Amino acid sequence: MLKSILKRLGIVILVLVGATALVFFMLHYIPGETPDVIARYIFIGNIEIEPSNEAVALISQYYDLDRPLVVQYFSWLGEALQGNLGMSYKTGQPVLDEIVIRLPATIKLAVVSILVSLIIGIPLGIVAAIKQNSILDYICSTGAVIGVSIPNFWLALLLIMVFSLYLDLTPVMGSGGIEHMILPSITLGTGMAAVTARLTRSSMLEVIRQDYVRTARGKGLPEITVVVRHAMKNALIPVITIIGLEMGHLLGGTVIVETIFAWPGIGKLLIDAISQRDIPVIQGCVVFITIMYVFVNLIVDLSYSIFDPRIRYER
Amino acid sequence: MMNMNINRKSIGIWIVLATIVGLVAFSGCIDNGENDNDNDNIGTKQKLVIAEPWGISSVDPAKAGGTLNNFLVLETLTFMEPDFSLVPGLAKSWELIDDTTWRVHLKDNIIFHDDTKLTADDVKYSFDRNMEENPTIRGELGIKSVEKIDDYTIDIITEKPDAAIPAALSYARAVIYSKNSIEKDGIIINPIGTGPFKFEKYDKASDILELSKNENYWNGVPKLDTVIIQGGVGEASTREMAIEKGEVDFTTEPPMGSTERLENNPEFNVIIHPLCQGYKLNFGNLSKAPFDDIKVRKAIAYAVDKESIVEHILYDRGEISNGMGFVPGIEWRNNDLVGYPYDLQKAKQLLKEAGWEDTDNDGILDKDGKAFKMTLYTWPQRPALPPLAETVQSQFKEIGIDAEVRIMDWSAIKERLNEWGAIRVSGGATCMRIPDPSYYLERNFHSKGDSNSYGYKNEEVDRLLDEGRSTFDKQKRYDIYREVQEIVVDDVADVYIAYHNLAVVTKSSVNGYVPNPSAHDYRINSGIYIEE
Amino acid sequence: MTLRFKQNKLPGKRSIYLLKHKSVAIGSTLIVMLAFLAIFAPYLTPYDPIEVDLYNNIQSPSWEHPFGTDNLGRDVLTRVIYATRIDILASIFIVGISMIIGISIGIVSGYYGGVIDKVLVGMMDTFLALPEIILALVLVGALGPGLFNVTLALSLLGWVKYARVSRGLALSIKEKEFIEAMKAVGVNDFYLLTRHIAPNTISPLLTLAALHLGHAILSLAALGFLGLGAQPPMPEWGAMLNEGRIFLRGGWWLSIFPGLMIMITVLAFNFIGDGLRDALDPRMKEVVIK
Repeated sequence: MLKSILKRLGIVILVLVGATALVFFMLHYIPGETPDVIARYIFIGNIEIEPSNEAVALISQYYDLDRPLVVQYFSWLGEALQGNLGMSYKTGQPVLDEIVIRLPATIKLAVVSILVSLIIGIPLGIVAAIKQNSILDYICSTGAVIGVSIPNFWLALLLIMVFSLYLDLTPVMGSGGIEHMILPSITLGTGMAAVTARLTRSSMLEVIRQDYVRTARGKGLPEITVVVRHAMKNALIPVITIIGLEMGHLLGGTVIVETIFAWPGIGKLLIDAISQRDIPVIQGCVVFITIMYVFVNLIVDLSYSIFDPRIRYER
Repeated sequence: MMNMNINRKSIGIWIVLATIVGLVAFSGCIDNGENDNDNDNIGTKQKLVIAEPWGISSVDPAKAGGTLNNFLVLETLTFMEPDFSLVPGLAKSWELIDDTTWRVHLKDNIIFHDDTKLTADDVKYSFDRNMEENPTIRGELGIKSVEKIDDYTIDIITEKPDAAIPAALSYARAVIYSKNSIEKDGIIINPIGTGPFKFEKYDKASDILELSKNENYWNGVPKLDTVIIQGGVGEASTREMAIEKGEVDFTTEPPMGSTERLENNPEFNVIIHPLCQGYKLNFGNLSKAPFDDIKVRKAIAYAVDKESIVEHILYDRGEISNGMGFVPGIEWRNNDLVGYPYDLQKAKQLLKEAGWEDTDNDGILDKDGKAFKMTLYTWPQRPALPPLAETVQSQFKEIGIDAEVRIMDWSAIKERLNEWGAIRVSGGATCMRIPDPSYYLERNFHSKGDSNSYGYKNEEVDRLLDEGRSTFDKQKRYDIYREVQEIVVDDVADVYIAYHNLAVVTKSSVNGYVPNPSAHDYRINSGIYIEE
Repeated sequence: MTLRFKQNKLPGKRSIYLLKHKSVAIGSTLIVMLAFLAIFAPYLTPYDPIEVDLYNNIQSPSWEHPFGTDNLGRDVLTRVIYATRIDILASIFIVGISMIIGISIGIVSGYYGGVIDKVLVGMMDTFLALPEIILALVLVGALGPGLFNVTLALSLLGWVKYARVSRGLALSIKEKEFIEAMKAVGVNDFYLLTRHIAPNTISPLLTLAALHLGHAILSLAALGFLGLGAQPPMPEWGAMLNEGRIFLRGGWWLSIFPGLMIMITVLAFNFIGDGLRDALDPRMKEVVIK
């Protein structure tokens, strides 16, 4: 067990190095003279005004931007391993600080969205499975397909129109309280709820046919007890994988949803950094998102093999 | 056996649930701080909440001086009034001692937010720090050094004779702050200024800046107790919805086209006033074909239907310009200019004279086998720009120019401007950042100007601009700068389409806002108060 | 988890059987209708999708303009119809390129094994370590905005799932007797890979491809929505939403209809994909496209 965890960790580290290198070299093809961009941000604070040549020269010298790319990458990697992700071109602050102050917002949004998806998805999946091939089942299944087909940015616009503009129930701006959380988490949760419902349904169907459920039924226990005590417990295990499988969807989604709702998380930070070509911040966000993604998947895989010894993770 | 198995599984589920709950609690704990903003226990009545389009991101005066100046935390030595005139600020008077030295006398009754007095030491500290941290400020001010003469007198030494210095001292980034301002790692996190509002706190994660009333302000106590600025509300539609739903009291630039609806709603005040900025076309490279030919440039200037752009793209939040950026009312403006009124026939004629004709009848002009296919670049942050570019594109079609629109970030545009026929559709371009014409004209039309990346070069203009800067006689300067404007418009160095009028939307309970056309975008004033 | 597939061929009778499958039928009908719109766009509407008509801007839906007009006075219905061409063609391109790259890498990896396999699998893991949309964002950031660049970026990133599945398939096919036999008589690897292994991977990948088509449209539109995709005035659903978002208050029709079209198209591909999955590979039931 320990050995397989260590092996996985090793692979994770290699993958991280690979992913950051991939992004690093991609980013340096971003057109636009980097020192020029930095000078605009640091010295002018307004992209519409050209910096003076003096300012540009100073920046170029300060950031040592003339070195070969490979050298720059390894020096970045070396620093990154010591926890230093460099300075934001835009604000001149450490990238790590920029990310850390925004991380809680993203985690909060992600966790609440997962909860929303489970709360919607699991009951629907169970109902669909119990009433297999009924009208209810068809409605649930069709609803699930619609749920994965709906573009999240469009859903966000619809929700704003209905709940913020028409019904005047939720605020359109800011990030303080729970009321700011409702629309973004529903936007993110819907697509995932659809997947959760599908998976719950099929895994319920499988479990219902198992011997012990039949035995429980045979003992004359009420249907509700059978479903809740015996079937559900086991059926929900594969659903845990959802969290892993959907982590990519979720992190990708946060980028768009945070931008639309002005949610101050790392998704918005990343989009802003891309449009402002704040390369160290892009790089830092990518590192964090990769770490989150890879580790959640790792934890899910491991917990899965603990919960269900029949399944062993195979590469 | 079976039981064992199930128990093990249910433990697992509990672990997962506990982790999720823990994560929620953890993330809840961390940002409890930002929730404080919602507590309105201080000054519930005289509180103004502003939705600011641009991000704030820093409160160090050397970087964010303009923002802090706009929100009346930090002040400058001289002030620019809403009518673009220059008046004393923290300085009470100034005089020219020799060609390169200006002597400035400070007011002696100015008290910082921390109750210490403003002296020449603070002024020297602010200038030195601003110029060292930020070489652009040095370049923009043209100041070599600042010397203390006594506690309330300083000398400003310039590189060359410079008539624009008193005006330059009002520049929003040449702000004065106390040398006791709190620093962390060389960055000021608590700026101490002299303005009507005191810095309270800034929360970076949510980009919220909080200010409070300065009871001891030297020029009349402000009426508002608290000002809260939500930065980075970049979407025009979000700002519009925020004010309509009452989440903020004050914002600017709702989407083009919704001003009329807001104006008709008694719950809001809509104030539309001119700004010294606008929309124009910048030729990518004036020294290369096709724009090295002045006939082509003139044709393009004539081909843009400015009237319909003002009416339908700017929704009357704009005015046709005379070809130059200075709006009516500025003393330096050359009021004799007329620019290039929309005239398709002239445009077509000029292109024909320049050798551009549709020889293969495909609707696109060509010359020596080269079709007139070009790109209009613009950027998304100003909402009027993309539709403006699309409109210009369709107007170019009328004269046989096939244009493609590309929207990308400002800095990515810069290096594409050397492509054949590239034009940048620009917005912003504030032309009175200081109450002196040298700032805008030199930056854009001097062959060495910082913003002159398109290579405009006219020796006469260079000479006049140098002369204007070092001439101290105001009447002579008027003549010089008016001549520069005339030459530049004749040369079609760029195509200035329209001035931009700013729209400020407030709740009807917000009173006392004075429009300030001299501001870069907008500027609050200490006379604002809340009354239902 | 490793997935195994029965080898399925798609003879004529099978396709008729497939069409009887309800969701495949619904999906295909929708796609046929969308294709009709795309192909006959110029004959279906009297308006031009690009021509600016400033005097008729922001008009709410009417008989003349059933979906209203946009901020530059263009007919939204016309633009939505023309956008069908762009979105569907681009997504087909993305899926095609992804499949070609994915199958090539997958079968080479599975067929040769050893170090090559390890390196290629490492590459796949690296690409899988980042959510696709994030990588696409970064890549488009590097290439610059534009429909072509976005299509290219998504094509270069979509191959991984095909590579994984086709690698598994190649592993099992190469054990087959006929391959062994051909190898024994000295048929070269390139011939084997292109003529015998690659064709056998295509049919199991069809489900994946159908789902990917829907997914590609979503990604394309998402990037368009962020202003990185198709540039105005080109009609593309995501870019139209991006332009219309400013008028959420004064022009709801600008945000409703393009989104609805995206949903219908993606729904159609997902119906087909689901149906194919149920019908062809019952074992693959719950492979969800990320």
